[in-house]
Amino acid sequence: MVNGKSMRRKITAFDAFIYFIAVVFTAIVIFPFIHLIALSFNDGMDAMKGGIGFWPRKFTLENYKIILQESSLFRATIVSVARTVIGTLVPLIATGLVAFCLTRSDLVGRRFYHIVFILPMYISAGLIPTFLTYKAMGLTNNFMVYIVPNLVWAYNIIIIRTFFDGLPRSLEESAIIDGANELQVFFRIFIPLSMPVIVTVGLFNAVWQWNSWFDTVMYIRGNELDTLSSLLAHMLMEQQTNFINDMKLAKRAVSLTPEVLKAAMTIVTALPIMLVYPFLQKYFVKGVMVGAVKG
Amino acid sequence: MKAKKMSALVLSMLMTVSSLLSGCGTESGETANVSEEVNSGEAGPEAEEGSTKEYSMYIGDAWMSTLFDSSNKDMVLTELEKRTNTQISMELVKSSDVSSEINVMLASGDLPDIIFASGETRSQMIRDGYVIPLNDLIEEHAPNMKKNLSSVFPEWEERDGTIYGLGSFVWNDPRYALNLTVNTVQIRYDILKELGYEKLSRENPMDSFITVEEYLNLLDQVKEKYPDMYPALFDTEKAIEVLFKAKGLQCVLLPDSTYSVYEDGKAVSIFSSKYMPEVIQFLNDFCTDGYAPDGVTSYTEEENQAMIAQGEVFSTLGSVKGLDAANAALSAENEESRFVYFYLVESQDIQNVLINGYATAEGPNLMISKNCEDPEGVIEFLDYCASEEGSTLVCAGIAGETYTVEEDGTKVPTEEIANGYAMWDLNMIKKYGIGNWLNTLPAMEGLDASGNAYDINAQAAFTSDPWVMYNNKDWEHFAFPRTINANAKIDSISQSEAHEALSKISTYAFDRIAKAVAASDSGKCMEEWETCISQMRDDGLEALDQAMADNWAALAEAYGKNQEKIFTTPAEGQ
Amino acid sequence: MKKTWMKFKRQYRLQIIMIIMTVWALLICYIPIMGNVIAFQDYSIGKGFLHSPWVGLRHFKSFFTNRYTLQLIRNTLAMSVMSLIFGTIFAISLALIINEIRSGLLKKTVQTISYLPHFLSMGICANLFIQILGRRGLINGFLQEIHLLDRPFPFLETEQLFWIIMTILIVWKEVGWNAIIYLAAIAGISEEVYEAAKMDGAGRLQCIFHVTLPGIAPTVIILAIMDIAKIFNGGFEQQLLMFNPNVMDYAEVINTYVYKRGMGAAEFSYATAVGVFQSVISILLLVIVNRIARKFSEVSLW
Repeated sequence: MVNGKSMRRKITAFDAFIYFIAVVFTAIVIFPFIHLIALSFNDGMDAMKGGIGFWPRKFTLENYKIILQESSLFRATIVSVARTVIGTLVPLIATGLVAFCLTRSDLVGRRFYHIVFILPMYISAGLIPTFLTYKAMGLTNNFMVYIVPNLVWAYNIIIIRTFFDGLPRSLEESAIIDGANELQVFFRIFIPLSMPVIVTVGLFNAVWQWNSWFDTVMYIRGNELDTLSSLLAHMLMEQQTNFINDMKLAKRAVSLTPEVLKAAMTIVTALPIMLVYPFLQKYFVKGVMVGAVKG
Repeated sequence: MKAKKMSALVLSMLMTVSSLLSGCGTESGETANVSEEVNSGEAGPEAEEGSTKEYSMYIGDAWMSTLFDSSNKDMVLTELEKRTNTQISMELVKSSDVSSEINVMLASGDLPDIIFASGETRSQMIRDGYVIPLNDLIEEHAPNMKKNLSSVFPEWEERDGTIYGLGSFVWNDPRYALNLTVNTVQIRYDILKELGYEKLSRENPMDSFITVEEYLNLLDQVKEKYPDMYPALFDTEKAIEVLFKAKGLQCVLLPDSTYSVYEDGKAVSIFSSKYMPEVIQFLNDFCTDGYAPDGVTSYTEEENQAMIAQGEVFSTLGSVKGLDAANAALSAENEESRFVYFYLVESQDIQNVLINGYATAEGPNLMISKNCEDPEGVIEFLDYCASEEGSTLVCAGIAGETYTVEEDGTKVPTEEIANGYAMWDLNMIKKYGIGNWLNTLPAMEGLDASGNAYDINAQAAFTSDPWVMYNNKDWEHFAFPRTINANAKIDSISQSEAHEALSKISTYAFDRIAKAVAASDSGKCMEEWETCISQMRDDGLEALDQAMADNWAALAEAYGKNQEKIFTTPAEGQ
Repeated sequence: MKKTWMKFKRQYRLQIIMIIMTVWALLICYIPIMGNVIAFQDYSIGKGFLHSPWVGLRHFKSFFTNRYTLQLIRNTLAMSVMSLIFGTIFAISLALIINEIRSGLLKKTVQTISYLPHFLSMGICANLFIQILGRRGLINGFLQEIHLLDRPFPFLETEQLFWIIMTILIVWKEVGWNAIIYLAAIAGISEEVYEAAKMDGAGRLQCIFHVTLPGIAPTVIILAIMDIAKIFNGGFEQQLLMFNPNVMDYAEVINTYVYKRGMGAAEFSYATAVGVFQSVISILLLVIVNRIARKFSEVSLW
């Protein structure tokens, strides 16, 4: 018992206020998504008239059928999954290691290393120089172009490092007294305690890898390494350019409009992330101190 | 330890998957430039004496790329390959950021043999020496092109007479006046019928024309009888084009080259035209008089589409974004509620109305890259397409499969082809190749020896609904300045001041004009326009005008035309 | 010197990692950055980096003497700063609110739903806003229903409102996603500190102000430093999509202008020159803000 207040669930005014805001916010935010889902199940021509609310007015599965019938869909999904999994785990390790090194205040060249990694975030490199560099390194037309250039991002390094900075020194010190070297400290102490931020950075990386299509289009010729997103981007381009074509004035009875196709595609790409996220939520609980050392 | 196990697992996973996947990727970056066999398409050409020649073709255009399937060759291509003993591997554009993709390809140095590109990218390739001149090659290796297509060579030539690209759209007959939306107003058929508009029947030769006065009259009637409808919508840029052309003036409004009009015997940028203030004022009055709804200058494509598709719009002054789609939706529901075209003229006296926009639009697009090892062979391959046989294949397909021949010799497309073409069915196009190759390859698309159209679907257009496409009845009333390529582009190297001026001005020009049009009264409208034109003068409008005048004068000279007479010569057949 | 070397040898494992990654950074990041040299050339792909003619500062001069540039900078800054300030405030607030939800189910639901707009493309979001705020949109419809207006008000065409609408759009789209970081930071605050506070008699609200906020302060400051440096670089897709002629003087930002310039001609050099300008400013801002942060708090980037 703390301070005489019971810890059982009592709805206070504070709680009510919080709940109210949360619900209002959720409603505002979810409305467009429901609208999008409705759109994705709606006939294209009909959707053009506007005014679709929460429910499709003229239901059709055509939009999804077109997407799912795309011939290389299966292969593209495999590539996407491979890219996302590898492209998240490997960078996580690399980023985590770099962040850990930077958190050591006695690291020789600390300031130098910081600048080396942070500077590129603010200086953009053009498409052509980047392409030529990757080509020289043999990364073009290669699965590795999805992984190697994305090993570390300054933003993520800083986030993890900040988090590491917030962990108490006492744990580290006791481990070192027990004879652990730096890397063992990293793996055994820092990582388990930093799950929230690691999961966060992992999630950011994963989402980026999943949705990225520009690198596929620019750095890879041929279709073998197409990802789901690049495939869908191509499909959308097809629909858009053909639909707004006014060279041949033929009657178009096609019901597929870019708008509803885009809606269906968005759902298809967002769905996996939405399904995965709830499983990651458990890492967002407050960090548990394993074998904490009392000062 | 747990962490070690984890990393070992990750590492081994990484290695297995990446080796699997990198084995699947093609390491084609540094290899030679002649194509590799990428396709698993239908049966290739039969092995004849002499080895099969392999060429790679890159379609550097977003719209064109949607018509092909690079891993499955269509019927026309397969047959072409058979007859010419070649193998063509196709490469397409993958996203709508075509310019970046092409630039990356150029930077990589890995160029395909044949490149299809348009606009600024095409100019860049020519200027930077990525593609080769074709004059000698045509002279020595292209007998069919010389025989059948030489009349359009002037359209393919650059200013100095060099041909870098071969064109399509080589209609060799002026009756191919298709797609005339550039200077039309589009009006609802059913409403016109209800109003009892006499020109609907198109009985008299001038029935396809509507004067400005008549048009406003119609709009007044609509305001009175159909108060819930919007009389008109417009897109500022297109409306201006329509109004200029209604005066019988030749003008070209293309974002990557010129905004020019030909008046008083010379070319000038449209912003400097003496008619611009009055055109802007007209549009401003058009809005304040209630013919167009509030905010029309800011409507997005989706908003236009929604309004039109719901049947709330009577007409559009020039084409608007979203009209095509919405029109298709409307007519799918009820044939009579579709939009039909009329050509806007200022008065009945105007006789010169530009048609056949495509002969005067962009440059010829099919080029041969500098890396091609066998340009003679490529030209010979392309030359076959210009022969009678080849043109028939490219434009109509194979007798018995895509069309049948009637007793009188006319070619009739099969139902599958006709329907697919009418609905623009991509599956049909990609399967047969009808509808795509005639946009790419230099084939004859006019009339063949027996007077029938090479293009199998154009034939149908002649006999189908005269409201959808223009037919023989009315073409005689139009000027036909085909021989002048109206695209007198500003050269970025030798006319750099004008080029920079154009670049600066085009970032805001039509937006400012739209703002003037949307002003609440004519005073504010002219004020806004004055601000705009003075800003343009600061940005180098004078240099731009001079450059345009010089370019068009040079063009006229190159084609041996009297500059005073350009676009003022009456139409043939009048 | 000797001491440093000794330290270096002791940290050899860490140094190996850092050196490998530095080499990586050099290859992947810095070599392409050298391509910015074309800002000083009249670049054409055909001639490449080595043979394109040098023009020195011509493109920079062209950019700075353009009468439009000041307005572009003003617009860019206005929208970047507004979305930075409001974005951060709302993201933190959202994280705090989610953290305070007791019901596990509601917490998970709100969290999952909150970041959904992040997955919508900017095109879809802009379209949505146009549908809501347009003349025939929901808001105008509603206001006319309750007779506050008798004709639709053109929200999207009113210059003065553009910045506000842009801010709302960006904040709404990203607040849920941005809150994730703050939630992670909150999760990192040890339970003990809360218990200590509660033992001193702190209520929930006070816990938030005295424990949570200070606890995530380092994260907030670091993110703020990194984002402030980007204010000259911001804005492109949303401004392009919501653009219409009536608001052009408030909507055009540096990136959209450069894009429009590039449409007509392949103006690689000009675009790169502007990019170089933006980079230089970013780095300056970064150094200045970092120094300020170091002076007034214990937290800084380096």
